[in-house]
Amino acid sequence: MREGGVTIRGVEGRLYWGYLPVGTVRAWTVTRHSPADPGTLTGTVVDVHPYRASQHPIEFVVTHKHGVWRWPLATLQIADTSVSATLRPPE
Amino acid sequence: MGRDRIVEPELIRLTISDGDYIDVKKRLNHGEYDDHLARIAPYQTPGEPIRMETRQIRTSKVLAYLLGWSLTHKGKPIPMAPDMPENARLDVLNSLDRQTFTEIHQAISAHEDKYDAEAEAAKNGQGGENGSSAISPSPVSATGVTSGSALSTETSTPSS
Repeated sequence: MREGGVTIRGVEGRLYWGYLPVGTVRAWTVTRHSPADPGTLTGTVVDVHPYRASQHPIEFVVTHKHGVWRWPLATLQIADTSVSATLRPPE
Repeated sequence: MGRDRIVEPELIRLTISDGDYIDVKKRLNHGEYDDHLARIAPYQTPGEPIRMETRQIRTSKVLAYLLGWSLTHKGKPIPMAPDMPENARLDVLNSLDRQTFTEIHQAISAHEDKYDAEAEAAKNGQGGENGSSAISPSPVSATGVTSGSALSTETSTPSS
């Protein structure tokens, strides 16, 4: 990882279109290579709703001990059980 | 071009008494409305009078719309989230004091009436937007944790 980069890994998170679940992402990784990089999400996905996955906006939401992380997605690709997405910078 | 017939899963925040709020669906889609009907009239047979579960009418509407809230008990957030099993959500609703449940139901009913009227007006080509905007969807906000993003709110008429 270059200077300024960060990687966060987790066991499980969820994709949402609004309040509707799109799928569950397991063994997920969010990587940012620099402060200017919005970052990418990778992992394995289960319980996918294909129609909802085609909608916009979609968020990746992780509940953790102290609250919630919420990443809006710019792009989302789901192939079989693999998910990859580019994150959108915070507004 | 025809009108857009998909219901976006948008969330609206309604203010209730004592500084509390509830987060509700802006509109129910077909599946959500069908689930609501199935709870209140599970035994409907075509051609026969509808037999309704009168005990469930108000509760079913609240279950259909409610996504989260700010309510607490003994200083801790009361769980209410769309991901919770329906029985768990029902248990929480049934544990509320009657006045609070009635207030929530009235706020949701007023919200539903307003958006039904707007949808009807839009269908008839009369516009009908009220200018209020949905807030950032917050599927897990019911745990009492917020992301810190700015939220615009819609205030309902508090029940008396």
